Amino acid sequence: MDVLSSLMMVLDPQIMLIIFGGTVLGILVGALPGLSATMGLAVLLPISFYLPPLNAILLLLGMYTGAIYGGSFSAILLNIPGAPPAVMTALDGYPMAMKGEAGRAVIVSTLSSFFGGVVGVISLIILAPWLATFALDFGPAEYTLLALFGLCTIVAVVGKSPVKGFVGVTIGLLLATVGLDHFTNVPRFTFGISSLLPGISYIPLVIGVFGLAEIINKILTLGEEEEIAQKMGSLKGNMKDVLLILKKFAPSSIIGTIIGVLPGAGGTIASMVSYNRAVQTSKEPEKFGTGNPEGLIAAETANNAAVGGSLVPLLTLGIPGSSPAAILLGALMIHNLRPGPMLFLEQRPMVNAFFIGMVVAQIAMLITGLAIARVAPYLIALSKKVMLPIISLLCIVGAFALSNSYSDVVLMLLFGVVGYFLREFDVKPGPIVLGMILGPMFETNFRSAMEISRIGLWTFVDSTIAIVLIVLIVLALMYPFIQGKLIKIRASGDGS
Amino acid sequence: MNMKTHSPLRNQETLLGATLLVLAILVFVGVVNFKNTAENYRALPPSFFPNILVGVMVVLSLALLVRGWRNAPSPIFKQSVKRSNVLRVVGLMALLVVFIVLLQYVGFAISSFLFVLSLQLVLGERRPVRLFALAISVTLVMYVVFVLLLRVPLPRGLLF
Repeated sequence: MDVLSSLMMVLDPQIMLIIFGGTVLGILVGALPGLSATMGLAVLLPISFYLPPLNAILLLLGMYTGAIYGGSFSAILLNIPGAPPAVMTALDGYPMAMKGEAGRAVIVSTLSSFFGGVVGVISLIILAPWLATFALDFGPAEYTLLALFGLCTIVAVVGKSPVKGFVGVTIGLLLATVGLDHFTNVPRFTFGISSLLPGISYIPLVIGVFGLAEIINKILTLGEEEEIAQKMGSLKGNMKDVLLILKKFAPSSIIGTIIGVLPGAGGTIASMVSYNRAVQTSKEPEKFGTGNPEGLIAAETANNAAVGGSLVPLLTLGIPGSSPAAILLGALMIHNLRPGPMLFLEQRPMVNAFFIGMVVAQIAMLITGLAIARVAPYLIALSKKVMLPIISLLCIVGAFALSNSYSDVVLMLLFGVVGYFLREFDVKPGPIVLGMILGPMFETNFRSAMEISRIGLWTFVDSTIAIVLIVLIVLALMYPFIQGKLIKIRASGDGS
Repeated sequence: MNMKTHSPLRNQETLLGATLLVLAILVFVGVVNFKNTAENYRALPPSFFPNILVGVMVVLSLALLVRGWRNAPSPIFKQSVKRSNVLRVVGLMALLVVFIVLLQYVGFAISSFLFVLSLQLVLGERRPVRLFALAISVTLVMYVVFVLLLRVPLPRGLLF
């Protein structure tokens, strides 16, 4: 009876409108480079104070869901990931758009996000308490290994040369150390510039190495490439992809939910690991990164499944694992909903209504996404003389909007130029950006683990989770070699 | 940008490896100059992690140098680029810098209008209707979305 009454709470026209509005606004925030889910939530927070609790929380949950998904649009259409997890979406999404399949890419990403998101919410309902204890088993050593695993997977799947992949990751990690050291407050690599003291945000880096570098590349090849005809993106025309998604979404959703539960970079690592798994289990791994819908499915399903997962520690333990979750925590407290085990006992109908509302947000996302898929081919087919000024302006406004600082815009320019040259040298932007995003998590946990164990490396093999992660890291590192051998074996097998 | 003659840097690997080695040395110098005020209170100094990164960079750069030495010489830049397009990129960079400076004085609306207008000129658009239509509409949409809808405070000038 509980669930039915919760369902009735959500099926109210006003609530439905609020969820849809929040989701659509979230998609817009996510799609614009420089605007994050955190910012979108912060903008809506004051409004939510004046709403009844259910309306308020569902508005914010809609915004959160939409913003994570919206990051895929700019990744596919502009090659600028709108949110960190969308870095993996750009790998295959943008090449698809360049091949004339922008509409198809948006449809695949929308459907994958939908399935992943729904699985994430369902697991949130069923597995919340169990997943929460799993997250508690992760100490600094385990987080260190998780970050290392994430970085090794990106190196294994992006670009031809693992050495150059690690060059990118190391540059990213180095950029993450700029600013005051969190442990000792000693300034590092700030060169006496005060605006560098708080550290560099990943946003100017993402916009620079993905966005501006691509603009430079586009201008340098101006007038050389032939116009590509964009195919229409309609659900009917892409039934094959729907079947493909139905076949492939389950493992990625599970990976997304489980890793998403871990506080910190859950969604980002989830999409990396899921993409890596898709490459390694594929019969044609060489197709990934060239516009393979399977890569898009792996990244987007995991990424959106992680949204549900990321709410597990928040709702069950009251621990916000990310900045957006911290804002949600604030909103819950203001409406006198104290997250924790008691929330599930005392406010069960309300909690159920949240979950149902999140499914509704997924449906809103699906409808909006399929509508955008019809427009996307036109957007990308615009002539470069129209597109390039718009994207350049977006890059600047995006870098500026983050914290209203000119220094971020200057950094963006710098990263753009350096990023262009690095790309010419096969050092891809993906590893650099992910190195920077995972850098603080990696360093902080590494040092904590070492300090707790009094500089004893045994701490990294001291638990089952740690040993499993080490095995996974070794496998990820060995993969390029194994793959080479496999291709040889297959080739000789075909010859006989 | 099109280097057909072989430089002493034989190929991409050699150049990248050498650059990385120089960067590693610079970073190491930076790390040595960290203030070590907190050294006695912590098991690990702030230089701990950057030093590991320096080590990794040295290993990677040596790997690249060895590979570059083994591989045959090849041009540093793979794609040959038209001179006019290189000038366009220089134009873009100049416009971006001017835009940032202008933002602080005349606000977003005017600088955005001028930026879109002049970047189109750099890219070769000459039809006046198109030039103005895009510059005005893009500025307007940006203003509505960022300032009115999302409440991002873009720099204000005399008019907006």
